[in-house]
Amino acid sequence: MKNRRIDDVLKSYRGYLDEAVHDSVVRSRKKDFLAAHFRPEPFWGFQPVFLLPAIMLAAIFFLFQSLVPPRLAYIYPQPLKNVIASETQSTKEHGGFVRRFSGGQSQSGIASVAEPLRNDEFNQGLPIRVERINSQVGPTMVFQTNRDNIPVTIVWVFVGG
Amino acid sequence: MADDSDELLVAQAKAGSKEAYGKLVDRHYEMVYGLSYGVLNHRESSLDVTQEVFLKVFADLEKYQGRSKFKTWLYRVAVNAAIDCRRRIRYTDSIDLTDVSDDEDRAPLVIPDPKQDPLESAAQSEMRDGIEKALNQLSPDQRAVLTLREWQGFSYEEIAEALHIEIGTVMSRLFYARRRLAEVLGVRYKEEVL
Amino acid sequence: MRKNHLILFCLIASFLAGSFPTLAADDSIRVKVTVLRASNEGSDFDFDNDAYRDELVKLFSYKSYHQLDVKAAELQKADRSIISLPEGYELVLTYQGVEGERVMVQALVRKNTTQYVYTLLSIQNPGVVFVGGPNVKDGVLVIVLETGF
Repeated sequence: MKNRRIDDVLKSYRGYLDEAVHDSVVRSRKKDFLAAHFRPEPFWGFQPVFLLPAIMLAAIFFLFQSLVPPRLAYIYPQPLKNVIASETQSTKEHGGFVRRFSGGQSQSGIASVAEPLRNDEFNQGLPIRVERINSQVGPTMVFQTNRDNIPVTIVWVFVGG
Repeated sequence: MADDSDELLVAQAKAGSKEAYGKLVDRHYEMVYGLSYGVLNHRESSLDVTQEVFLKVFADLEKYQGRSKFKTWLYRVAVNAAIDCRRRIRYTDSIDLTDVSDDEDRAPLVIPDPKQDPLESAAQSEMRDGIEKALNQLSPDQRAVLTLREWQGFSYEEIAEALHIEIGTVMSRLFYARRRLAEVLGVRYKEEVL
Repeated sequence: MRKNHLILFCLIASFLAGSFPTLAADDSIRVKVTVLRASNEGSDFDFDNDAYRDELVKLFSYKSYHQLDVKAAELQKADRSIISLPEGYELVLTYQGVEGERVMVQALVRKNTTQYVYTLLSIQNPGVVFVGGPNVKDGVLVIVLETGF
């Protein structure tokens, strides 16, 4: 069973960091940061490239309605179709909205860290040789390796084994 | 949203979705901040480092190959950034992170609960001061290991991977960090086995 | 003039003799002995030796390592050096001389009259040997022997 007082110290340490993290200033900064850099994309219909033409056409439609007599309603334009057409056009122009916000294309040139190479080849010319080994209490074992170019020898007894 | 794994969001972010990356930020912000604070013990610097980390990770997202968990990769960037910041500040001496005269940047003052025993709140305040004092005596590397292990619950292997050090080094730094914390707080560090 | 040549020769000879020391040529060797308790209880990792700390973790699967003692032993030829270990164990190191380019060192861990592990090592270059296995309270003893430091 561990020392309870040490556990209390570590618990207090965790509490200390928890308090720091749940600070209202931190929450507010997080919100600001997200809003400034990673605001969620608006619904595609409300994106400026679609919204502006839609508003303009709607304005023209209502203006037209107020100017043209009702019996000539059949010649009224169809704003919805125009919106669809401009969506298609916009898609072609911009290559699809998923590509609009392509994010940073930083070419910082920071190389990724290569996995270290390991040399597990057993070195026959060992700097230390175990010439003899024995025990009165159990079987023994010798293990030698040259891991990472550090020659290591282990001499072990399994007591009562 | 709860079902979006980090890896899925990363894939979407790589495809250009800032919204997906924003979800990652939302998910991990406090953890990255806490890690930075654990190393720096200073709110403003920790906030700066946190933002710097997320912007850097976003810019370098193409480099994330999925060999380790995203969280592990993120925390590696975060802790290294915090350690670098700590070292830079030590050399320039322009900001003394041990200077506690600017109370706003310390851990927030806890308003005492009127129902709480005054002796208990005094003890808690003393404990908090002690923890700050102890942390200031640890190296940035020791603080990083302590935070990852004790606050984040990382395994030794995860810490070794995040910090790109050997497990033996993790264990050693953790031992000395815990012992120092205990010593400063007047607790004898000894694990007793019953 | 011949006397001066002789003196000069002696000086050069002694300089050359002293400038190529080898492990095998020494009348004594130094061995650093670190005594650890390896255990599956707790998670202490109290081991100062940075050079082999990571090797320890890679080679053994114990959860904690507690450094109990560090000593440097200077072994004279044919002399024994007895180092006390916890719980009545002793480490007996004997420098047995040279064979070719290798020095021979005998290491014995014993308790009273029981020999726990006996080994004879021939050492060509500096290196490290972990000798272990004897049980102690809450773990096992691991003795780290480093030569040539």
